[in-house]
Amino acid sequence: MKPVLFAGCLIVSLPLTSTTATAHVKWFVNCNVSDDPLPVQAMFTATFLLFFTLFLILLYLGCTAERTVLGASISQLLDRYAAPLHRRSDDLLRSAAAVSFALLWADGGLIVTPELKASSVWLSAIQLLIPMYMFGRATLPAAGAGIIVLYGYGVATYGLFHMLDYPVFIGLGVFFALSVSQNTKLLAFRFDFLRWTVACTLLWPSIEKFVYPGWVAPIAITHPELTLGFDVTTVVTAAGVVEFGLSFALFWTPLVRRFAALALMALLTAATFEFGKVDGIGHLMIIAVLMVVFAHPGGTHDRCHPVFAPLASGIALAAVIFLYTGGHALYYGSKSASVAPLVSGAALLTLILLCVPGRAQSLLRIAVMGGLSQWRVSGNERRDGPYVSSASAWASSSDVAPRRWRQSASAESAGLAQRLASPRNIRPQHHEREFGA
Amino acid sequence: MSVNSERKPFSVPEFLAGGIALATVALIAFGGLRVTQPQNSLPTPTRYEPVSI
Repeated sequence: MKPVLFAGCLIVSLPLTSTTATAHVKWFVNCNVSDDPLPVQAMFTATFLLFFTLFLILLYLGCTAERTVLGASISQLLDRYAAPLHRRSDDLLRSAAAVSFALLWADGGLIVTPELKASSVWLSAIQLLIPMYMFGRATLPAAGAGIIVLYGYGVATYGLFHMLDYPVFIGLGVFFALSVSQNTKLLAFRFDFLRWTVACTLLWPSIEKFVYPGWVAPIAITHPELTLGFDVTTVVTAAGVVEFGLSFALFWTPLVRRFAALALMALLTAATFEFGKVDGIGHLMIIAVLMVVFAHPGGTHDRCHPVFAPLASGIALAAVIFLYTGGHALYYGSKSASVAPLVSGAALLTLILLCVPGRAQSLLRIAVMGGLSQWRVSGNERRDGPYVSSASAWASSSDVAPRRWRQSASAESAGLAQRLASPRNIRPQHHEREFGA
Repeated sequence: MSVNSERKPFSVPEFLAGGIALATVALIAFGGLRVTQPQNSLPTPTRYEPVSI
């Protein structure tokens, strides 16, 4: 009984301590990003393993609960009460972006976030134009282009590695650029893309809690009430696991990601009370996107077997740690030292995309098939049956592919099936389950 | 997700306004980047707090 009680107390109290982490560290502490990160083996402490195991269990239970009658009822309830917000998702994002960029313009010395300092008349002009362009639908692509220009200037000034903390601005730029599209698939895709980028925005810095615990520690020390009596090392590790777990959950199935978005909104809002306006203004856009994620009903098509969730999240954690350390080595250290972690991280990410059925897998497949078709056009005359069949299967079944692709792919599949002698050369034409990410 | 209530095609004035807006952003960005080259202003740690945990 005691271990269960202890685990229950940990689950309830440790997320509260992660308010420390959700205040973006680089806005409050001078972080030297060129410092060497902790070696990978030093991250896997007993505390880390305990918290991560708890997270895996919770994620599995959450995914299992989603498939029950209770999960379906909760989903329906959320659909009903969040429908008014869902209908006005576009308006919410436009107004939040307008306020956010107007505040940046008013400050006059920032690019897109509080620690990215730059002062130029042309930057201020773009920051002022973005809110103005939010008023009309026709000018939304220009607003999106402005956001991407600001992000690009951040990359040119602070480096790509630093700006990997903020892919949400790419997501916003693409979101507004696609807002004028007449294609319903593209209009739906922009919401998914925005969700993925906000998940990456929160997931990437969570790794800093593991590789640079010293960055968060000053915050935990200066705000002792947030530690709830735990020691600083435990709080930093818990904060990293909570932040990673909730960010990863944003990639997952509808109910799981809605609750993750709700929890992240609560944490980010709570952090504002503790850390003030800088934190609130900096996180305003992210909170708005999380509200949209929470309001989005998802669908019955993007369900995934619960056992995939802990498996994929474990692999994802290793992959992101490898990519972070590899990217850091590439940017600040030796290129040769970066090869192994980058290749390992990329391989693990590919493994997740291959194993987990759904839209992400479909995108990976079309990317591979696109490369293969180019190679085929450039000299190889023999058509490779199974690969063509697989690409056609994606195009004919995926809801990302435009209709005319699906039609031509279906025709191609039919013709190919007649030509192929052996039925075992043909891959299955439909995914049994579709994964939301 | 279909949350878009206004999906009618653009009129000519709207299309023109969108084009001018996009051109304005492009011109400002191009001109601004030519005048002020981005400097690599990575924040140097003036107050880095070493903490032993």
